[in-house]
Amino acid sequence: MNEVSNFWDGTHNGLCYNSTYDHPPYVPHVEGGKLNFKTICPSSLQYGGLHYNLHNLYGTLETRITSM
Amino acid sequence: MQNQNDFTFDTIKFAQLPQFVKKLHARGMHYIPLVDPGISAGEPLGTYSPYELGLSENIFIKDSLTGKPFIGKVWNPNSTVWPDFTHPNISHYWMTNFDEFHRQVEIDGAWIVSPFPNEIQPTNLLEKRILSPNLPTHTSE
Repeated sequence: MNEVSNFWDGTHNGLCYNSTYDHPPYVPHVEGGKLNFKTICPSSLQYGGLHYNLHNLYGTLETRITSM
Repeated sequence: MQNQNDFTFDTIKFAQLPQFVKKLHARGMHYIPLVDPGISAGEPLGTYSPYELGLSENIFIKDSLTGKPFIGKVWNPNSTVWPDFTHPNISHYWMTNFDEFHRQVEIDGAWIVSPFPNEIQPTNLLEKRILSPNLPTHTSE
């Protein structure tokens, strides 16, 4: 669940904002065909920056904090 | 868990859980519950401290436009927010939750990963797993 996993594709209506990070010009061949598929919107903000840049670190950082 | 929320246990159906864990310890065994990072955002005010503490410590991942916690949903009844593990104060928040829960149930650790619930196994793979006992019914990603 620390993918971050979300049962919604972003928000409750399955949409994110009309932004470059939510809808980048190139989307890799990810499951669902969009970056917010079963996770939070890439435009979401974390202390360390955009979730777009931090998505793949979520589980690692959770592990690190939990082990402290 | 109560309403499938982190850091809770069902005090009716599993009222004896704290004693059960003590019994396990007496036999040299450990108790490690699964802990999901998603925190319920839909509980009545004053009933769920992991959410309220997170709000007061301002450590949930935010919606970029509103600046409020980003609302999604996992197992929790109504909605879910997620701790921001890049936040400098996150360890205080996360430890407090574990600490308070540990006062109720003496857990020995946490299983902080679980399989992606919406993962769909290709049929042939599933069949192989059923046929072969060497292949587990699920593997972590």
